[in-house]
Amino acid sequence: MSLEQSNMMVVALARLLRDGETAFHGVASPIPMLAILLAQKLQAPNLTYINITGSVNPSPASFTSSTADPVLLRGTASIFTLADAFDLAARGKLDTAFLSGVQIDRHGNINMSAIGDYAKPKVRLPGGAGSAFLTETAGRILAWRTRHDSKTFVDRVNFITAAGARLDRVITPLCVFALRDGELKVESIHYYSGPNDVKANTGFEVQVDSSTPFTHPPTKEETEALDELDPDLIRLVEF
Amino acid sequence: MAVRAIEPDWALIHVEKADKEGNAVMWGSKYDDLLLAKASKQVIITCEQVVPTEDLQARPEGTDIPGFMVQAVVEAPRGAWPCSCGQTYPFDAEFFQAYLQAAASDENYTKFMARILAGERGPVL
Repeated sequence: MSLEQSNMMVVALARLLRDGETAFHGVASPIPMLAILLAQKLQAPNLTYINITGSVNPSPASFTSSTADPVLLRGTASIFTLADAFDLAARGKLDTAFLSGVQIDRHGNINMSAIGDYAKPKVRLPGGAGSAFLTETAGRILAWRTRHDSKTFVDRVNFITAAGARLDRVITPLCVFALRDGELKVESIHYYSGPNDVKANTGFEVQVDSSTPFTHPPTKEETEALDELDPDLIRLVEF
Repeated sequence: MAVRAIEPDWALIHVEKADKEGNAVMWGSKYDDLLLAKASKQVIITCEQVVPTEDLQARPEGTDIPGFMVQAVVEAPRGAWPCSCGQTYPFDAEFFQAYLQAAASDENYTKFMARILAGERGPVL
């Protein structure tokens, strides 16, 4: 089941990436990493891929469970530092940045800081790194979260690490959310899921019924390209 | 002002090579390390290897952090363990798995850390 879900998530993200644009991911981002590399193999060969290791359009031969690993330097002809990437975003030239959150709320706000009261948290989270900056500067934010339940997708996050304003979509194992008019709306439900599944696992009210479209399953071409890219199934590490 | 600049008292940065003055060379990714060095009041460089200054003078464009910003240099081979050091060695995945398991209880975590502080470095940790 996890493989089916991870394939769907990588493919759904990859389809959103456009040729000729720039895309960036940070640490702990195996699904976006594979989505960018997959998009480059398919519809977006001229997508410029930059990441936290500082590589530009690398051709990694293998992956580790870390997406800050030097394996992502293979094939780069320059080192584009993290400061360079943030400057690029500030100049309006970073089209897509990928973010995740421990909690994501109905307005697309992301919490990576604390569960419970910020001053006396029940769980202290790792923090948002550059999230708050990128949500103000990147052209759009594509978010992903491999867990879709009502503790993750909440009415209101306990702490806003990064505001949701530029969030475009959130891809989960069950569906694609799109942020429209400041609200997360279900754009499509993955082919193996259903309206009740999405409703029962989301902590805010969602409009889904039998007329909600299904996400197109991965095509043969997409599946084959992904298998070739990631034979060791790094895409499962977040599940 | 939205966010005040962070000015750390100390930055500890591990690199592949440095000379005694603190001129430091990082191979591969720089992450936030250059900004950290510039932002901090004082910088400690730990390195895989201390090299003669002449080696760096021969190719100064390869130096990432100038020595005048650095207060101390420590030669510490494998000093980034259990994390990775550029392309010199990878992160210790087995260690992190063991850490995650130990960190589930205070008792196991205390024992685990005691073994590390006693110098154990093997995959058996």
